[in-house]
Amino acid sequence: MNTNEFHLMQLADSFFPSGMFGMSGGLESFVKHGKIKTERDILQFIQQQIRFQLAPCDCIVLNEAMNAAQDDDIARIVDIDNRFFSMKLIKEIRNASIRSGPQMMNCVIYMTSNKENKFTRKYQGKIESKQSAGTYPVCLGVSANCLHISKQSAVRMMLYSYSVSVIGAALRLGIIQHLNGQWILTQLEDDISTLIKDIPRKSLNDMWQLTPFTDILQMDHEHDDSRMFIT
Amino acid sequence: MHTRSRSIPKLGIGGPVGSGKTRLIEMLVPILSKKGYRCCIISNDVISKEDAERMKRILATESKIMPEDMIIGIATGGCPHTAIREDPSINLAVVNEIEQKDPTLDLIIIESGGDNIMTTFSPALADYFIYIVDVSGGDKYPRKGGLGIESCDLLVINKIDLALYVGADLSIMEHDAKLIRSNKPFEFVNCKTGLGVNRIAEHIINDLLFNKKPLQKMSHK
Repeated sequence: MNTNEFHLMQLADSFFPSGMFGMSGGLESFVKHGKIKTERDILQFIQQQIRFQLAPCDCIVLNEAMNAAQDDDIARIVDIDNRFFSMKLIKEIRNASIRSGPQMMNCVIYMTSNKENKFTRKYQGKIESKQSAGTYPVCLGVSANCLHISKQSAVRMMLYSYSVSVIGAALRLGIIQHLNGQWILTQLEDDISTLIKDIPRKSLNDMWQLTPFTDILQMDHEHDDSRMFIT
Repeated sequence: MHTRSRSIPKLGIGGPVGSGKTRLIEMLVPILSKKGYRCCIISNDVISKEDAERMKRILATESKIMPEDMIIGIATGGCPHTAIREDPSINLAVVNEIEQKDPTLDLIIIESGGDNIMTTFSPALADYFIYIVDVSGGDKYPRKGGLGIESCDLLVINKIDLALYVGADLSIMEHDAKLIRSNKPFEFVNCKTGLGVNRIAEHIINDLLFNKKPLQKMSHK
């Protein structure tokens, strides 16, 4: 195993401190409203979120952030970051993104040498001075570039981590068992592998997102008095 | 040029469900406030926003001791210990936000969601850790131990008024606390009446704030 693969495993591991364990990606609200009850419902929910939210939006941002980080172009990073932040309609999604992203990046800075993380620290400075939002996909892109992870692997990892966090939430909400979770992940492999092929050909101008029902339920979730998850 | 905000002392309060964490904070904050110390509270809740909402009502709306936006609720995804120990990312992010928003605060109180006896705070998150249990489960605690009871900076044993009714012998609890904590401090309190809570405030002022004077007098009142 080379160093890049090892770092990829580190970042993709639910043990990596990014705060993702506290998020259900809207699942909790779907369950509360009786819209999701089975492992097939969860699989379908994740597939739709990936197809209509993560692949056409978050993944493009991640890929573009890695391109900009490779070019050492901090102004472009800031632009990507703030554009993505402005696209997030749900307050708690925005807050969760700018809370977990910089924390994950702090850890990568701690893991690496000053020489390796020079650009990452430059971006961190932009976040701390409030010039850049510090969204999760941009922080992940800059971090993955710092760790020499390939763009395709980084995109795959983000989709994998998202899927695991939703499945983890489903387990804790008690709607599936541990074996169901692994079955769902296995079913997602084909979808993820197919979708990530198109990402390098997309630019920021190709970004879109369309998950209105999830958005509405997540807005409802923000005001819910009884809940386990941040989103 | 951006300058890093000042690091505000952080107090972690953990303990089992119903042991009195929220009530302890509700009793502590007015005492600290009277002495001029300004606090912010982060409340990690396992299933609801009830604790944060109750503190907002009691400490902000009714008594106006602190502004409502200085009481922040965090959902923990059903993993209260993860949120304060293995992966405190979200709590740390909120602490950073508070430190940037008001660097003149004297103290940030971080309340854990109700958890088990192995609760501890990551040292990256809390500078001082209070673990609170109550007598209602009998006098087997603190004897049975656990990371929270053994490693905390201050053990608080609450609801001593109930000892009589549940057959808990406070002298046994005192003896066992001394033994298991190797003479580290512990206090008996009744958070309902406030009995003993002044001593908890003294521990915080002496051992966490190092007797520093408040940064500024309360401006909200």
